[in-house]
Amino acid sequence: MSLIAIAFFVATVAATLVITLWASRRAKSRADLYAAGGKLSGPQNGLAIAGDFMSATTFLGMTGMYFDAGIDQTAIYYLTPLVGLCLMMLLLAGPLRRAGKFTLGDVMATRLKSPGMRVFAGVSTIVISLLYLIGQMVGAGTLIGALFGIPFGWAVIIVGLLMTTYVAAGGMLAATWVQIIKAGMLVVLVVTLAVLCLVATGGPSALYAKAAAVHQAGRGLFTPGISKTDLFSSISLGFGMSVGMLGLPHLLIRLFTVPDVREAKRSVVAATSIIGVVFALLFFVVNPAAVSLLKLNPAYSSAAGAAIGGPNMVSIHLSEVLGGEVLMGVTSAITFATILAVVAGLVMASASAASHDLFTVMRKGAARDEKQELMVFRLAAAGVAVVAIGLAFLFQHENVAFATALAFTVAAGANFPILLLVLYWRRLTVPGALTGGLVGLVGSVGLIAVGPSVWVRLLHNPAPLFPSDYPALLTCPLALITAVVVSLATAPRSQSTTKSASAT
Amino acid sequence: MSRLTLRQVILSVLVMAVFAPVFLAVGSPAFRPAWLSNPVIGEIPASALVELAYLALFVVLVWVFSGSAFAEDTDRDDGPKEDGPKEDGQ
Repeated sequence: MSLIAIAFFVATVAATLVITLWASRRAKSRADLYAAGGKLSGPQNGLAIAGDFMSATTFLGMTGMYFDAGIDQTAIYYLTPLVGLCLMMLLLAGPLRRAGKFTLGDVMATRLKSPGMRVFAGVSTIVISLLYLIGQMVGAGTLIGALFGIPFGWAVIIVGLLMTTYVAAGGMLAATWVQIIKAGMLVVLVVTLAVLCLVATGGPSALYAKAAAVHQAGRGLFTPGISKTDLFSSISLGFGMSVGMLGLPHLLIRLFTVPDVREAKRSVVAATSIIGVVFALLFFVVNPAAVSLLKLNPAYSSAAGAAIGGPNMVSIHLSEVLGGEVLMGVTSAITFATILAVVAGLVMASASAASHDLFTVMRKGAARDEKQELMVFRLAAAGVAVVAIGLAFLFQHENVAFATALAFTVAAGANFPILLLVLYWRRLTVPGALTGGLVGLVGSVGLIAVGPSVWVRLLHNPAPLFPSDYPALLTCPLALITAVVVSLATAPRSQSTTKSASAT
Repeated sequence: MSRLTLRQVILSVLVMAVFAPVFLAVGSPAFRPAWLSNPVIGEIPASALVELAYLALFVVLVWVFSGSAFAEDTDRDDGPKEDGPKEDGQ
């Protein structure tokens, strides 16, 4: 590890801590802590939203996937954020902004007037955020471990401490500004890498010719389906990743951080523009260039064609080939900032759910004590970090892109169907919403647990009990149907209860 | 309470229908045209250009849909409110 790279790392961490210190002095109220006071501008929020999508999964995981299996599943992964944003604009964005305040619990509890809904929203937010955190933490541990030569465990503990500091001290304002600055740096980095890739390989045509020549699949590299994903899994992956986005709490709460609809629209336009450009450059130039420059290079890939240090190290290796230690240091530092920013957003969503949703219900009607709630928020941030560190140990050998797909699957199965019904279906009852949500949550987690990745690869059982890692295609409709059926079955009783409650 | 319109449903289904050829191609050879890996411009494969076209299309669609998503929002135009709604049992 060179001194240059270490200097970039230290500078990045120092800059984020300065932002946190600044934010902590401004974050005085719950609105400041949970939603940055609702005062972000459209472009600022757009950069933050784009930053949420440009995570370790995008930069490390998908480049590693392409390196191993070519276009294949990456064709789905690169499109789902934009497909999901289309669906979000069509179905959720407008009504969600009108209904929401700080968390998804606010949206659900406002409509159904039930503390039970707040508990469900809080629990599902925490479960989804923790699953998403796995991928980011594993990416961070791998990166820091490989670059500094320190053990994986210490690496994830350092990340855990930093993300707790950002969120506990600076709340949404710090998490957002860390995200904004990181997104800006990542855009510059990806553009720079793309230009250097084109220069190093002699242009797009030569780049693709060389990639096909050195990859074990030849031109099959450019055909989706090389890894023989079955039809159910690929449909479920595409559906789950797109629809799951509509249930991701850390993305949805960003709609609450801008002051009006004009800024909300500007933030979406800014976010999609940035995401489109960055994803296009990664997919079209950087990924095939990584194959052409690193495959068969003994310094970076094994005789079998696998990246040395694992698939998550491909982007870092590529930067070293293109720009030596300096570019590798910059790339590592920006990747680290990327991970820190995304994990801060996820911890933010979890801690908000714990303090604003779960803690509120636990107090059973006692008057809100803002000081106490903010203390719980900070303790929850630390608690989430501890659990995330533990999960990172468990999943340290998984590709980070796969770990993120798990979070999307659970969001698609548990949050999205209920949120849709809460916003649009008048006859939804509390028992219906809770039963449907629980079926989606337990079904998603359960089927993932008995699927190939966890049941066979992690728990070493001989065969999976459910054949796919992506059950969203089953769990999402199941949750929706359950919620509808139970609501219809309990409708008369619930309606009379509501009437008598309102009469008193 | 918002009202789900037929336009919203049809457009959502259309978005997934436009996306469908991608995940179907990944999942089954039956939906995978042979020309996908063929070079189109120099050695650049058709699949890479198709994916770029998809990215551009969805970016434009998000821009278009964001116009109507935020057009009718007039209830909440002053940022987060401190006083939340009351729930049963609180």
